[in-house]
Amino acid sequence: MIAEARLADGTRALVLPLRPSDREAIREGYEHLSAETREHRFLSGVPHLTEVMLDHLVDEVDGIDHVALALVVVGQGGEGMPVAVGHMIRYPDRPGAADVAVTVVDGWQGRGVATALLAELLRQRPEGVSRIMTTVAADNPASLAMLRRLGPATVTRVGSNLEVVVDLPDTEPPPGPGGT
Amino acid sequence: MSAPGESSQSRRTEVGYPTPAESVARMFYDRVRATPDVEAYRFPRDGGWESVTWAQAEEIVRPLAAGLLALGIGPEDRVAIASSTRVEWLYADLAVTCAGAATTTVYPTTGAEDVAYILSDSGSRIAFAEDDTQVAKLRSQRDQLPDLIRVVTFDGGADGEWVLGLDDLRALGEKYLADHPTAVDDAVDAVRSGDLATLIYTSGTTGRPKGVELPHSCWTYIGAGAASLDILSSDDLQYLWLPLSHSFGKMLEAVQLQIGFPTAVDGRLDRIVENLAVVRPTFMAGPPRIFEKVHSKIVQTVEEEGGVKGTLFRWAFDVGDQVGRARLEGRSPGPAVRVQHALADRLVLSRIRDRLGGRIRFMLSGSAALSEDVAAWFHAAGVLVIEGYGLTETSAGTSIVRLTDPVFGRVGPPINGTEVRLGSDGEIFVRGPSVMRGYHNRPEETAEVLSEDGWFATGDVGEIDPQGRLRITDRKKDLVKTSGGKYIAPQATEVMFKAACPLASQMVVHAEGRNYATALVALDPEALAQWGRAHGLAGLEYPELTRHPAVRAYVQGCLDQVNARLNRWETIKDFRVLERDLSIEAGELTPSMKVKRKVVETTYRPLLDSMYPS
Repeated sequence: MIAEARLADGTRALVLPLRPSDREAIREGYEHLSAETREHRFLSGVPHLTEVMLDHLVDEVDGIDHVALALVVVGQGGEGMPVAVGHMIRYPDRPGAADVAVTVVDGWQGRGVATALLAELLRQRPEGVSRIMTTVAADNPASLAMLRRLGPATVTRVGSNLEVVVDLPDTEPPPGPGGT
Repeated sequence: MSAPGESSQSRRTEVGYPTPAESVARMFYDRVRATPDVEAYRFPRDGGWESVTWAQAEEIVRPLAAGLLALGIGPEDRVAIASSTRVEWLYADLAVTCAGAATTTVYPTTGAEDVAYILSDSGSRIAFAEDDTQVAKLRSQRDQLPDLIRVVTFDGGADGEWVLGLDDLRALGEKYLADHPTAVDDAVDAVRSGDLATLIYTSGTTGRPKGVELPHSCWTYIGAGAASLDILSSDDLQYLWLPLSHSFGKMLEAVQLQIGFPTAVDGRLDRIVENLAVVRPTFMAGPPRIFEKVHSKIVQTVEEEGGVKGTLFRWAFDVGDQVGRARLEGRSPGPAVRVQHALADRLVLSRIRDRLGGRIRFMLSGSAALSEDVAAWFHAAGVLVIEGYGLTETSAGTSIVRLTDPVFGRVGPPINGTEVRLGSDGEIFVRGPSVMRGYHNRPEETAEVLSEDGWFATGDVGEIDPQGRLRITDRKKDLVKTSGGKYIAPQATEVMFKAACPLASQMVVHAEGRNYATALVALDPEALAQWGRAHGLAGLEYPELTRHPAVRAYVQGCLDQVNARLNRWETIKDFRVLERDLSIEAGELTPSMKVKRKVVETTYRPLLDSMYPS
């Protein structure tokens, strides 16, 4: 299923499911992220994605408990450029709760990409998930603000990170500023 | 960035402070005029201690300042000092300030490449270098330092050309003064409060160190603010060993100029205990590490002695603690406790104080959080350790516990004239005359932390209690701080290690509140199995391999490579290999594989503790 999205500035984008064949693109894409973007993604220093990580983040995407989507912006000439990847993954021991992680390439941060991708992740979220439980770096206010827009959020500081719990509204989530 | 508009709490101490001097140079001149014959500095010489008065200090500083002028140093030009704490550091710094120039501070332990970076980023034109070691570092980087016209060494060998001795500089200055008798006075007169006084480099999570620009008004305000606290007087005697390259040490230098108490200077850490008994200071400042060290050394000695002495010691501290707590709560202990305390004090507690020279009125802990247990232990012995709070960006002076309202685990109300408020997420914002002008040549990074209306975002998180005292609870940025007050960016080390060690799956660097960094290492199952096969350990399962000495030695080898590239305080002194990889099931990773650092640290607390023998 390919969804269409529009960013805040009107840029057209497509949101499509991550496939096992995207493994090399994900590996390669990670290499071009800034140190800060990488740190915000894993909350740890990760120089390269390892095979174990790629197995989990690409091969184990099943569309049931683990939804992973990529956002591709469409240029003026119709050319596609992948700029973000997002995951929503159910907790093994908490069927009603899922973790989210959205990574946007540095040049496209601050333009509503994550908001658009997150809106689509929510629409396609694992069945029965009504709560987001995730961790973001305390020096990453953009991610926190994005999560807060999803619904009532509880934020707890743990060290240099924030534990964020968002109870998702029952109805279809409202489209973000750039969502379709 | 924006100011903390939706601030939930703010605090400003509404008491005035004396009008600050125009400049640090002026503070020094005023001090010399006010008390010329009073002791200024005391320093070790030929196995004993020597002193200079303020007038004598001026006689030393003036020709050095003139020497800098003779070499072409002008207003706000940068002059670096790469030295440990010693009286020559202070002379050099005062000479720089009296020449109207600005000091760039360099830790003597900083590596040659970083020294070159700091000197070239700051545009330093002259560098004071303590000895041949410091000179060698500069010489090895000379190609990178075209602006550095001269090096002046305290103890090292001079070459009469690029490297001068302190005496050479003095001779230059005396000659210059003969031709221009008012040159130094004129330079001092010309310094304005907004001129740059100090550039101190601090490192963050990413990127190179940033130069914090502190104008004269920062230090003169710190002096005036400290004077208004009424905690120190000209009758005090300070023992100063802190690195003057650090803002905490620089701050004490400014406070001394304002208040005028004498200071005994010796930066050699291994001399502290011996020196305290001789100098008998009334006041000393340090990072928590030093208080922890004294505490653990005494406790250990007593435990080793055991027997009746050990029993007596524990009883005395128990009594001391009861009295200490009563004092903190403003109660007076009951008569029975008072009698016991008099005995405990005579037998044990006074001896602890004697080891600190016997005259200490209080000690100041800053630059990292002091354990409340350690503070309470000192207090039981009758020594009050108060905490203060400040960053290099706030001239190391934002808040301090008052002697009239002693408390542990708090860093006190703001210094008079400083405003503190909390953002909606608890981040501490500071506004006032101690706040830096900005990061040197980094307008974007400055704008990230300093709002147009003067609020500085500290990156620390805290609370303000009903009495208006600040408590630091956390740090916003992912930096950990050792008990020595040094920042470590764990993620930077983790990246380097994982890049260097093909077996690594995860590393969690641990250092918060500890005196050195250690790490937990998890290995990649596939990579480990493969390595095992290649090294004749094919039969072993994962947990056995993680315990195998050959694996440990291999990981140690990788770590050694990483340590060689780290600053000394960042190096990983010890590590433990976990018997399983971090997992989502155990809650150490979120399902999307984010590492939950605190969960890991809590789960493996005993393993971490085992790397810090008490």
